[in-house]
Amino acid sequence: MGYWDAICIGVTTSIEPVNLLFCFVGVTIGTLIGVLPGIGTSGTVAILLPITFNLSPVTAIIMLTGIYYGAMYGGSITSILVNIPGEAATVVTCLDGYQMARQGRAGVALGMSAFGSFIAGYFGILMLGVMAPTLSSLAFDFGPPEFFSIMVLGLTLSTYIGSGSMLKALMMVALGLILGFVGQDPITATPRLTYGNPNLLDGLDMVPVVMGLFGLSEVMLNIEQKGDRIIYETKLKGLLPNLDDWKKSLLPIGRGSLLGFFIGIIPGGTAMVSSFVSYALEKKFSKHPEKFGTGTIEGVAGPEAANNSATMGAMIPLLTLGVPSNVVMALLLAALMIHGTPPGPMLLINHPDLFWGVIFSMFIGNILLLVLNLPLIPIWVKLLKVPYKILFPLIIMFCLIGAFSVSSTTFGMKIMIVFGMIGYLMKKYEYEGGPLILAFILGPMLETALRQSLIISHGSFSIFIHKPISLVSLLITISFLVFPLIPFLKKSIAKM
Amino acid sequence: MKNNDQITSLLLSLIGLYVAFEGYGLKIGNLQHPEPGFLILWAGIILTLLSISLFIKSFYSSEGNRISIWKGVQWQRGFRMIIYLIVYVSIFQWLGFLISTFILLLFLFKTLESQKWSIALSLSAVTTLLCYFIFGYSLELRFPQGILERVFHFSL
Repeated sequence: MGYWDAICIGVTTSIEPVNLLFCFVGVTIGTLIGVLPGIGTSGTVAILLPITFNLSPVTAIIMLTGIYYGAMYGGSITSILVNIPGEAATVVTCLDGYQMARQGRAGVALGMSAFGSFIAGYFGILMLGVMAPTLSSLAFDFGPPEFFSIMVLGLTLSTYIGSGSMLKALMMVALGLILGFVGQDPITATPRLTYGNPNLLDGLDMVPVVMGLFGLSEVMLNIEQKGDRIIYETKLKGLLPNLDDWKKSLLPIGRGSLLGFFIGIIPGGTAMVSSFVSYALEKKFSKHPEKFGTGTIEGVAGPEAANNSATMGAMIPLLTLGVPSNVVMALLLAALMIHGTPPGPMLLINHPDLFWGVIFSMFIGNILLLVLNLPLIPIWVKLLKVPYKILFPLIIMFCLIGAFSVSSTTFGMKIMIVFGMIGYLMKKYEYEGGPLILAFILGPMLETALRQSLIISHGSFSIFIHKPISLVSLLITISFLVFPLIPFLKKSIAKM
Repeated sequence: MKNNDQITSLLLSLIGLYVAFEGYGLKIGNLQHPEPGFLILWAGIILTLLSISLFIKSFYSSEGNRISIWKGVQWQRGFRMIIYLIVYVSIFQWLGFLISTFILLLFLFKTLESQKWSIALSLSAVTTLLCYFIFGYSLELRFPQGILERVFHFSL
């Protein structure tokens, strides 16, 4: 299919009234979720996933992806005005954004955040449209050994570039794999770790697990805190940055867009990681790095561009290989599977309307977000003032109903409660949920790929070395595992 | 932090050992033909080894014990909320969605957040009806009717 045909399909699909409506719904919900700290994108997508069962696959994915990139826009509002990140990816925006607000430049910070996200979003969508078809055709060369190695690389990267201890993250990967193995063995159908419970034969459902780990646990953490959040009261004058602001921000936006996109592609690379890396990069490039943290516009523009571009980059491994690079992509994978449109190299061939429709809807979605985020900022600010004690019961209800809707039984609710407690304790004891969920989702796929590879090679692990893509992935994995040990080894040798 | 890591790593190593034992109990097969227990055994072993590494590492950690993670926070509220949710799930099918949800929300607004009775009752009612309207009516989720159907022969 040529690009012109692709553009025609994409445009006609994305401008269908129902798709336009749900694009709007998705980006609005995403912005709302980003603005309101307390429930993240993963939890929201998990809650709304069962609702999409009644929608067409294209409409469902358009809405869910709208939530994902919409949350990046919304999260920056809270970061700038309240110094609390609405989303993990907007943590870095607090550093300079809030300082700009304190200096009476909240409007400029919010405006540049929105414009930077818009430009980066468009860059990411263009790159997605250009790269995805090429990668899809390359993906036909991928067999079980390549898939296995890429997934192992993705899991390792998710532990390496996470914010906490790598050892603890690796433990969570192992635990996540174990949770993913619950259910029937994919080849022999032998029940594993089901304890005779028929509800577990199909394995643990991802939706209640994610809702518990990320939604319910977050509520538990929030309600144990004392006091209400303080919103910095400032007049939001001048949302449009001036020429000087643009001069300072253009290059950071450009760098952030490029960096964010390629980090987003890497399995394990998240919007949060891209924003941190962008911030560090801008500080390095800056002539006045000491000013970072005091209200520099580059410290807002670069990371905001990076996190939005990363959301687009994250779509690439999902759509072309069927390998999710983060939790939200894993939920989109579940949505695609449930709707009978499995992602991977065949998606572009079998469902070009879905593939191109989603991409073109992102063009529309980013315009909607610019419209929603700039003029409607005073409304979002008012929402921020809604006390959490009014909001959290709503969040709990949405989580419970979402968990119930998966199987129309209370089993999902029970799973959600159990994982809510687990997630809460994990956060208290500083164990990350991201690697666990990624391993939980990739575990069954990883096992199938490994067993298929060993069957093909008659039990020989050399198959992973003889395939070039697999070999490169494994070498990178080993280097990421060994690299953190080098300082420890140097110290030990020095002591001896 | 040291104590926390020691406790959690011990617990996870026990979980790993148990899982490895379960995996061994299923057939593990061999490299040519891995059986259902193969990866479970190895995942359990890896978890155990990593947990033991963390346990040992915690003894060499220069971090002292920071302020307890349970001090200065109202952790009891979270656990009370969990108890309410467990009770809610237990009565959900029997009482039905509307009544059980109303009761749960009343408990959340009144006992967790100490709202006035009038506010708690009205917020609970509005939230229950809103959830039913969005999910039960618009999105056609089939909620259990419970006691409304059994005793009053009334169905929404």
